[in-house]
Amino acid sequence: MSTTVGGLLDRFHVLGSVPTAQTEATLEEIEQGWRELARTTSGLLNALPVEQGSVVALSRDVALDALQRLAGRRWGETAPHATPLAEMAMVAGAISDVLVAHRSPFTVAPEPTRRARRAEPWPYQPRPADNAAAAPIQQAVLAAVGEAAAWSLDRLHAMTPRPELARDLLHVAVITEQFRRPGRGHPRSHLEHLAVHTTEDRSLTGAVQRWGGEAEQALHRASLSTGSMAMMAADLFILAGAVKSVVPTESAPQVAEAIAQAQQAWRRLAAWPATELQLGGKPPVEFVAASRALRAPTSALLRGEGGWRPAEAIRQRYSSYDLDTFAYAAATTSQRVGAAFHLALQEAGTGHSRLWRSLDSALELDPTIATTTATRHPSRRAPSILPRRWVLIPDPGADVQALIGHAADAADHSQTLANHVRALLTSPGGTAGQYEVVPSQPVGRGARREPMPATHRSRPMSSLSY
Amino acid sequence: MGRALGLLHHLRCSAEIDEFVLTALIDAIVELEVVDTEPIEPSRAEITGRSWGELLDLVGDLLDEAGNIAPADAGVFLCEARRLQASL
Repeated sequence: MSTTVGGLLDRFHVLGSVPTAQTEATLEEIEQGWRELARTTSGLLNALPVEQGSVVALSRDVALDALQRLAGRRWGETAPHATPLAEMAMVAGAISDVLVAHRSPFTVAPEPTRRARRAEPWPYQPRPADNAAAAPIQQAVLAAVGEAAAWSLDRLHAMTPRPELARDLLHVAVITEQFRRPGRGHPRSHLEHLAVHTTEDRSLTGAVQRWGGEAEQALHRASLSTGSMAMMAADLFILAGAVKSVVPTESAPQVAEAIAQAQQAWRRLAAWPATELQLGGKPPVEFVAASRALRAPTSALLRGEGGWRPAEAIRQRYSSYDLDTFAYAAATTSQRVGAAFHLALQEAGTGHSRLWRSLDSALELDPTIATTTATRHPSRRAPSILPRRWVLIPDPGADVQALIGHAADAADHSQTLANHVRALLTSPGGTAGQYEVVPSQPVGRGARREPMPATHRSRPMSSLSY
Repeated sequence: MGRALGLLHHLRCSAEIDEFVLTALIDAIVELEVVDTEPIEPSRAEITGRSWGELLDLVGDLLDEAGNIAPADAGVFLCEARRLQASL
């Protein structure tokens, strides 16, 4: 099971709701814990894509102001105490890291910076403002921080008075009062499905994310080859099929339609173009490996002998949370790679074209084109005249324009599909309501294992890993 | 090898095949691209009247004739394409 923003938020919430009896923190531990918690929570709130000037932004600014008074510097040489506050601080930092690490959209030809001669392919850009995605996370964070402020105040009552600390904590508790409620309900944010993965991660979601990263790298001009572009289109075709097999589309016909359109569009591009057009780069080895590493587990986990397994059979086999996180990763990664594919093909096919055309096909466009080429060997006086089979011509021709148009259509369909999947995963009638939140246990002094509360679902089934 | 690559492109572009069979063919194409093979478009006589499986066999024969490491890797994916197609 992948670690997701949603999973970390659940943990954050559980830690914030630790009852007073379980926390025997000293005044120093509380003070230090809050210094760190306020600092990392401020970073997390700032990482959310909040629309400036909105009520959500106003609410964030008020919270930031209150947290600012409690915030301190990094731990430095002092080891952190093992308290729920310290763990909350680490979880808040992890959430903001995941939000920031999921990088900005692909750029075909990034400008090299002045300092570095090498191009910086992935400059960090803030995520586009999206209050619908930001507000649920902000509310969940403030609710947990408010709970923690409330029990910290309770602890302070029994200690040597520290009026400044008590006043600042009271301020946090008051401004977060409206968000505090038992459990984390709806609405939830689609950003909760952003997942952390490592190179050793053997989840299908991790394979999709690694594939997405390699695909973007492969779309840089030097490595564009016909085979790798066809492979990418075929992978996007497969990913649309994989989304179909894990998303319950019976309740959302528009999702089924979006999947069918994306499948059709990428199938057409996977058969692109006939043999008269070629891209001459070397196939990128890393992308080819990532592609094969994606397809093998996809086939093993989601397909049977006769093709894709039905969604119902897969839902019985794997946990909803895993499947939804995979659907989110597959749909959003396809959207990002699809847009990048279109941009790269557009750049390759127009202007200084890098598409090679077979000589016969080129002569149809331009009968004056030279059919031979001369190469001079250093040891020979006369150059060798050799027939040309492939030519690079600046005018792309109607078939190349049509191909770029197909890529634009396919990218649009992937975008539509990703929008539908986001909506389905966050709507109260969607799949998110079925999740079983397994409360994590607090750590540190006084931590005690509590019995698991009963949930309306049985324990999750096996993880979508290979 | 150029003829084999041309035929593989033809198979990829023309047949209504399962997505995993398609990617197995593309895998074979990528293996041939690694050794700088230029595709040669198949002639009409070469493809007329031959089924998908027969064309795949022809690609295999051409690769056997070429006989070096890259075609051998491509041959693995051809077998995979044939196996997947048979399982559907």
